[in-house]
Amino acid sequence: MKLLDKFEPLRALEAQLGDGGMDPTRVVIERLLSATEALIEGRRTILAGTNNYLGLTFDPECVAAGHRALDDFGTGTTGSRMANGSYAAHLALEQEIADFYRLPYAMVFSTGYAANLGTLWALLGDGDAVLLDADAHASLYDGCRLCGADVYRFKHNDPGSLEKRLKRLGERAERALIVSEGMYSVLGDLAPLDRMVDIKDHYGAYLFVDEAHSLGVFGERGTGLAEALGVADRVDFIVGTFSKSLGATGGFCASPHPELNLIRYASRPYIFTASPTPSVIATTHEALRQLRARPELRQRLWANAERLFEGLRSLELDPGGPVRPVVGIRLADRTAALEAWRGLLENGVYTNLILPPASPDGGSYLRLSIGAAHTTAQIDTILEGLARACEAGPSVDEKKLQVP
Amino acid sequence: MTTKSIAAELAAMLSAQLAAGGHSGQGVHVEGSTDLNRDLGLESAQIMEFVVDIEDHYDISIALEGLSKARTIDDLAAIVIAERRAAPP
Repeated sequence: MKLLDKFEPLRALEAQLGDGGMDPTRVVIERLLSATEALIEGRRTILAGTNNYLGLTFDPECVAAGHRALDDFGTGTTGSRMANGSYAAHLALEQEIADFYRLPYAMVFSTGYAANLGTLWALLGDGDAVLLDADAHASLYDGCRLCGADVYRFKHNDPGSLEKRLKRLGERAERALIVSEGMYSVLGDLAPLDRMVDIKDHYGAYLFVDEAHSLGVFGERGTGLAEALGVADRVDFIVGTFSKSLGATGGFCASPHPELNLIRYASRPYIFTASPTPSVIATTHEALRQLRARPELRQRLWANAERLFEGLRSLELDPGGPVRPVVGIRLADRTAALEAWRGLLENGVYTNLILPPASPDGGSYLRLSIGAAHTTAQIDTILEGLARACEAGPSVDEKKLQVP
Repeated sequence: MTTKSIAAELAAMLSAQLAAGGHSGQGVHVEGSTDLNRDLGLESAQIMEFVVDIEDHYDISIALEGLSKARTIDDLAAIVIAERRAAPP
């Protein structure tokens, strides 16, 4: 067998998907019409899978901030912060994030993936233990795998399963980092962070929470699920991304521990990456200001989530659990999910297709996310598209739709 | 316990789960040499789920890095034996 022979199964998969026009990775967004609409295959298409929770990607203030930064600081930093120095805007954004979380320390990374990789890499080493939620994002798995610590998985969102594993660690529990998310990305299910902080305190462990999908969505101030559950001050490391509610790209970590600043000297994914682009820092900073100053964005998001859930229930597609802006609908198999996804796209609704091994439990899911910028008419069109996609053919009829 | 007896227990556990869960491997006879992915069609997430059950059944912890080369029930049984030896009495 030669080096490149291992790609044969992927070549076959690509051919299979491509033949039926079914490859979600080949969708081309030809033009953006607004935060919620694009031209795809020449059709006006509602974007119902872009995690644009606050709809800020076309906000005039954010766009203007980006333009100003381009004029004043150019297109890129052309180097890493450790080698080439920080821009004042990097430091100002870190200060704003710390202030937002009411924590003394914050650190910015070039992507959300790098934020997870970079913090976990530096926090963990030989002899340490990680207790990782089974459904955690790939970036959390990768960070844990790279760090050299022993990685143990606990059942998704199951505090009992977590506690059993902490107990088995004995004295090593004090060298353990629990890794969880806030709202999970595929099904929108919520971590029981209130119970997890009690457990971690009992065993003297540490808690790391990725609020990527909950920043700007949960909590009275919009900081995330830990705030909504009243435990924000008991989390050791809060990580998040700029690429969802804040409409840009990048990531951060905030913490009450002064060691966070020392991570800068120890984290290879931080040291050896070009620092975030000035225009991206500028739009992110402005979006964070908007998030803080305009709670009505969050109110609109939740009103839209309510409307989506009411509609799903009337279609007998109730995903269960509390109302939330992310929904995963489990379909019978890959083909059923692909056909439903394609049917929706042809009806002018863009959603996400989540297939194994990227899915949480080996299932095939149609995933939707809605935001503050969707109109009620757009939510209704999304629901009509779902209803039609579910009637379209024998493999996607109602009988085959299962509630996760 | 021997690797063989652990493998028999794991095969019984997995058979029961497959029968209950409507997985692709339902109805396939499970034994020591059964390959979890090739023979039963289990995705990695489903295999990991099974490992969590194994940990709780034997009250052991199996680190993720030790699992990367485990393909069969016998491979998992060998890991269980090694962890039970390593665990404090």
